[in-house]
Amino acid sequence: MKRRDFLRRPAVLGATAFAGARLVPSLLAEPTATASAIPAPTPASLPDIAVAEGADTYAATLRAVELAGGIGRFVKPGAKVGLLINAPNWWRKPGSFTSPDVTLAVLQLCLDAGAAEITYVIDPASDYWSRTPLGAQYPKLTAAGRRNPGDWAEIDIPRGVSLKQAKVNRVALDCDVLINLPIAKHHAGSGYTGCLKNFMGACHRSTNQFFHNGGGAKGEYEDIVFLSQCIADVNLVRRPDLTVCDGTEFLLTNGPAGPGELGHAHKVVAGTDPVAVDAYGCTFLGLTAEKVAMIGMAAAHGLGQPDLAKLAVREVKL
Amino acid sequence: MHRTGMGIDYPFPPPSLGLLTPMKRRHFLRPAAVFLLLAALPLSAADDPAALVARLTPAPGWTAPEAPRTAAGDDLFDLIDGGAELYHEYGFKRAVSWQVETATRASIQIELYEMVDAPAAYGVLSLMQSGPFTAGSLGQGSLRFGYYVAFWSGPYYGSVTGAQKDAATQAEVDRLAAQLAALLPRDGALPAWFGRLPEAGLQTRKFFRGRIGLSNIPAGPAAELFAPKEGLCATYPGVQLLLLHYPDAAAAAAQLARAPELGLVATGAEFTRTEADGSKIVVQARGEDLFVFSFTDEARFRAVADGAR
Repeated sequence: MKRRDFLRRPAVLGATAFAGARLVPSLLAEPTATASAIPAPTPASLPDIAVAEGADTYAATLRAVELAGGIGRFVKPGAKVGLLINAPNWWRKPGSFTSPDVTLAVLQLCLDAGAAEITYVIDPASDYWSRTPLGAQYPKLTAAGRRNPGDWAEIDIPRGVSLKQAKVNRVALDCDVLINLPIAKHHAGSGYTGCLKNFMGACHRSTNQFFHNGGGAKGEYEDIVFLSQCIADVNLVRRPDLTVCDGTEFLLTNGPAGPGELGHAHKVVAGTDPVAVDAYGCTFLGLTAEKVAMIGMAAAHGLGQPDLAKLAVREVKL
Repeated sequence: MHRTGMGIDYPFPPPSLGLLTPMKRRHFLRPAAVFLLLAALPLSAADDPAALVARLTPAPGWTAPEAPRTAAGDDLFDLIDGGAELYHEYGFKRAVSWQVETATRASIQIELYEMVDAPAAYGVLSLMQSGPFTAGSLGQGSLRFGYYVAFWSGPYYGSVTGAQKDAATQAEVDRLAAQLAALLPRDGALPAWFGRLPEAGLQTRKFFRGRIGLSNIPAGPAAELFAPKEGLCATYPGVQLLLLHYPDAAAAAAQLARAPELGLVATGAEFTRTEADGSKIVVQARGEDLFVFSFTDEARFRAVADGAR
């Protein structure tokens, strides 16, 4: 069964379970999370979190993915890849967007692996490639990504606590390999934004406004808990196959837009468990997973491991 | 830049420059009449942030690659996505974002937000106080950080951000910020209750208008005690004062009635709690306000508390 067909099953399963639950409840107990969202076990030879540190962000990205098992572990020849980059038109200030050097490195890796097609889940800003000197050096890479066609699908989330339905970009749903490229930074609403929150980039504006409006009522912008739960819930839709998180330069304050105080860890973090990567990434801001509500809520869904003490973390310096 | 006796940079002009004092009577009637008139009119095009930014004249070599982006009301979400919620909490009307750049791709982003009132504009700026900065006099108050300038004036909050830190880019940041601030009204008035903060030793003052703003202020356990709608978080040497403002004295008293369940012990007219790290929280009821002090040095606390009005 192809991934795209499997993804539609949760809505059907949910409906069937509801109907069937009245007759044979014990046979139709819902899983703790959709199967596609539960992290697959990491091979014992590989770390849960791979971290490469160095002044050369492009090289650090290549190294981080190598430590995580290499791009061939995720992208097979002929695959259709979706890139979810946190660099839309509205993030332009320093420390607010995923470094284009990270994106260029991932594009190179995907092409090396023989990807047939690379499509942006959300198009990067029009001046994105001009923010790095590498943009001019790698014209084939900057041209390798296809713009998002703008198709959406309504997805039921039966396991959602606050979010029961989301309008999600079809590239994020239908691609063979979804690669999440967030930046770890401050967020005035949730305290932190990284891998889990970046999935909002795959959602339609109407869905994202629902997250921020505390239940959809206009004028109510205060419900931080509701926002965090919605973020955890939407990550039930699909777990990215690989997350490569930018921890090089990031907002410590006044996020998500900035301007604000900047932090510099010069790290690129790769892994398959978004909860784990966020548990690591939030430490760049002096936080712990316990202090970031969405991390605990996502863990409660079975989406990953928030306890760094239980994770294999491999860090290298270039 | 203003320096306290402790050598600490004071981010805003001291009381003698009028920012912290209540509005005088002769200035009260005119703004009130104007407000009533404006309230009956549609938003003025001349006050439109986009119209103001359009009057800026970038230095030679700086050009705009695209038209300014504007937003009003809920559309602010399209402009700054999740960052919009903080502005809506303060009260937001409309905004503009404009980017200029050079042939070598140095870039500057100019943003101007028209908020519902002057306290909202001031509040947004006050939350920006973090990391090293110097205070300036653009508009009714400005802050200069390593790569950007932010200011408030009347109901407007503005920022000019240079993506590069080189001298030429930052010089243009300063020039554009000064230009923009000069176009703005300087008649924004802050609430009279702001003046209840002790003046002596005041280092920083942040105004919040809801949970999102408060959650972005590192106020410690004091911020978790009561349910404020708005307030001030002020710092002094060794003391933090969280001034929680309520609609009336009865509302403040209703909050304070929860003191026992919060572990606060009555000591005379005050309520006290000792934290696990040995620091203390003292709560004083002052009419429609609750003054929540956090400190480790009793003498410093008393010095600040005695200066409160």
